[in-house]
Amino acid sequence: MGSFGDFIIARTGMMSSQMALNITGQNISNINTSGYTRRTLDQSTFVVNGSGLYRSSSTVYAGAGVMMNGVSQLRDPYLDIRFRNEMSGVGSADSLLAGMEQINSVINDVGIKGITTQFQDLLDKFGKLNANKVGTAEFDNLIKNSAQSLCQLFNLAASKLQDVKDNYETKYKEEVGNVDTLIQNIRDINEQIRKADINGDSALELRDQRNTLLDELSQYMKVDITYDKEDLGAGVEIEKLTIKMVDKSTGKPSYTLVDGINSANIEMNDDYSINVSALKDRNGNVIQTPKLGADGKPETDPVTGAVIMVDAVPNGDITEGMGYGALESMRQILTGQGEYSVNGENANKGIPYYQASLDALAKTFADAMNRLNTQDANGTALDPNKIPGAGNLFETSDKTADITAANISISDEWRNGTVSIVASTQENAPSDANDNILRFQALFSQNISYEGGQAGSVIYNGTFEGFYANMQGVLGLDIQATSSMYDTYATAADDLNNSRDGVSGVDLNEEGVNMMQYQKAFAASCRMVTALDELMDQVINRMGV
Amino acid sequence: MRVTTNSTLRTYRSSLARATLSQYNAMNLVLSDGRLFNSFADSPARATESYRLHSAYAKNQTQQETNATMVGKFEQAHSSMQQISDQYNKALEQAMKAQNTPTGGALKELGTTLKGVAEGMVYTLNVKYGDKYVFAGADGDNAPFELRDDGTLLFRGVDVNSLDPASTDPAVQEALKMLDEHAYVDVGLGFALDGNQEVIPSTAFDSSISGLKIMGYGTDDNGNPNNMISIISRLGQIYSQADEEGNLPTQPNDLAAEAEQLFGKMKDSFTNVNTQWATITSRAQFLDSNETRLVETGDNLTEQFTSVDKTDMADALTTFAYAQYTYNAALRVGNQVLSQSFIDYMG
Repeated sequence: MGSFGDFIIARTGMMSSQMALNITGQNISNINTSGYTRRTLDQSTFVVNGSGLYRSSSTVYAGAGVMMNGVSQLRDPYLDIRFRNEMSGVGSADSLLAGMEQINSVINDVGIKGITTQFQDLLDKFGKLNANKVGTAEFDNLIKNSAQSLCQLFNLAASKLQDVKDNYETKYKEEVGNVDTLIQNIRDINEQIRKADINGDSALELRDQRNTLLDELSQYMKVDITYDKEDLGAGVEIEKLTIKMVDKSTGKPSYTLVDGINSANIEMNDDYSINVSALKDRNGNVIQTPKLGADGKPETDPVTGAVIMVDAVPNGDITEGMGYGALESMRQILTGQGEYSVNGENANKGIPYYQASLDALAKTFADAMNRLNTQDANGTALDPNKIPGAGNLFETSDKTADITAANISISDEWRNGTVSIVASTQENAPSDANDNILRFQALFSQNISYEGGQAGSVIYNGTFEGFYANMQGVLGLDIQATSSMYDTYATAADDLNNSRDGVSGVDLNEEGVNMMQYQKAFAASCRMVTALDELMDQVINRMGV
Repeated sequence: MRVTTNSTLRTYRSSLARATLSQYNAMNLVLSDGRLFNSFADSPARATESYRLHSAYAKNQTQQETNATMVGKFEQAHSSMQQISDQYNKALEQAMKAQNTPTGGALKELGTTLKGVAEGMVYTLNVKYGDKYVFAGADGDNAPFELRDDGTLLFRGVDVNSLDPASTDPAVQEALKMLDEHAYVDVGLGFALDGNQEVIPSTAFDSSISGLKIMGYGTDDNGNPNNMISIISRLGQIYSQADEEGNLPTQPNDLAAEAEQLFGKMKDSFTNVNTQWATITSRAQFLDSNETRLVETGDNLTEQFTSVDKTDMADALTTFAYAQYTYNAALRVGNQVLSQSFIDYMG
């Protein structure tokens, strides 16, 4: 060791205590940095002696001080995986809830004047007409005004739902763009980390940043993240991050989003499904590989003789049942047809389901009212010359063929008085004959079947009011169920986040104690230097004088 | 388990948010007069039950209004029948005087008076309730009765004496259909249609009142009218033909004999009128008891949907008080837990 070697031991002690204090300071400063993982100093005892064949047994070695091996992060990757799984559930439930609440704000009429109370008002007007007022123009006008209000309520609901859909579509496009940017950002950081790793730098800040991005990505899609080793040759291996999308139907990883420094792009198709492009390299060129024949050798073009290249990782569209997460939930809200789906696709209840429901109600109501005013009980058409006022009460405002919630309107003939409520379907009936008014009244209590998209399926059988209440009830139940799912996922995510924090978070108490510990160690090392100085002083200046 | 500063903060933050949300919801519960839900999403089961109750209540209100209108119509009918009764008694008095062979021009005067009573009865029966004639059966827009100068009484343009159920005349058969008219209204009797889209009679109230049925129609075997007004009008016609000595012509018909027969029929016709009047009275009484039943049903429904929609204000205030207490406790805890750490105590 030598006379002055002990100073080196003390000096390494001071330096490592000082570095540890720096790291403690770094931890405390970054306590509120999002995604920051606490650092710790790796140190080990510095040993310079070996154990040679001719080593003397009487020589004692104390060691040569402390060596700083580097700074490492404290992180549990398993907790990260569990946390990100829960976050995909949180993202999924959160997006579904947001969409459903927007739909609810349009169709909800509990405690306010809306479509339900307007149906009741219309029935009330028929009742008033029937009680001693049959044939009076005044009450026909009251019914007409009530019917017009109902049409306007349908038009308003349809228009608001369409607005919700349009806004949601814009938001969805933006989010797909954001996720694509996120994936590219992760790829960029991968490249930077790779460079740092090659140069031997631990790149802790970059890794923290990447973890934050991965957390964010996990909300949008369920992803499978693996860390492999990339062999650079000459025995050098560096870490490689691979992100694959998990196929919800099989539970297994499918499309590759990021593979080290290569990434795919995602974009929205016309039918709102997402296309994951083939894997591209850092310059944006699709990575290709020779197409292998049945014999395992590369195929060549018979004409040109060139090797046929195919996409190495072609990926593809995220089809029905594959996706999970906020993006998939938004897609379901935009495309879900529920029981109105003809071929079983898009079976969730999204905006299209509620639009189709409103349309079904408007059309069924208008058709039933028109039938009562244009046909007798046997289905024979009424002759307006013999039955005054016979004719359609409702029609489309845009002159298209089918009545929908957006275009339902009272007919021009009813508006100008050519058509009125037919009180009786008997010819030359006395002025108070009201058989047809009674049929109008009974219509509001009749159970009518509403068919689904698949032949023979019945969505609902009941009254007009009942159908609208059922629509709200279905949405209400969905919201309740999704809300509890969200609470469950969010609670689990919070717990896991706390567990993660328990491993990688900074605790002020702990850092305070560490500070004290390293301060004391530094002071002790300094004191050691003083003691050694006194020793040397004794040897140099006082021995043998 | 290692608990860090940030996880404590995060947990506290979310717990405080929950306490704030509870307080906010409790506040809204009180301010909205205890309303338990504002959409199906808040409570699908309650909202479904509530909508059914409100729908039934709306129907009940319409039925009450209809019932009240019918009560008004039948009260008018009853009042008119009372007048008819008074007019009949006056006519009977005159007719009795006539039977006692008054001398001089008195018989002729009695005839004029009787004709006046008949006209008065027609005015009475042409009464309106609102826009509609009460006794017109199913033709409320048009005055039901018309008395011609020759004493013929028409009901909706048809001579009431010609309405013989045994007649084979198709016009008479067609006209007799007026006796089978109905004007059904929904007064909460389970209104429903049958398979032919016609009202099931037991599920609705027939509001039509036929003056023809009440006053009588057709003639008896002797050719004398059954209708009370026709009888009185005819008597009036006969007595108006008396001479100054109070004698009635015997040619071409023996009018005195006819008058005597008609006088005999007066009481019978009034018995018929009374029977019909009793039917009207019983229908009116049904409407009265139905009104009570409908009001009770309405009150029950109100009680039911109030209990489904809202909570008791005392409960709402208690919930709010507890939520406030929880919130204040959370604030206090926060201040105690979060401010101190080891670093504050280092020298």
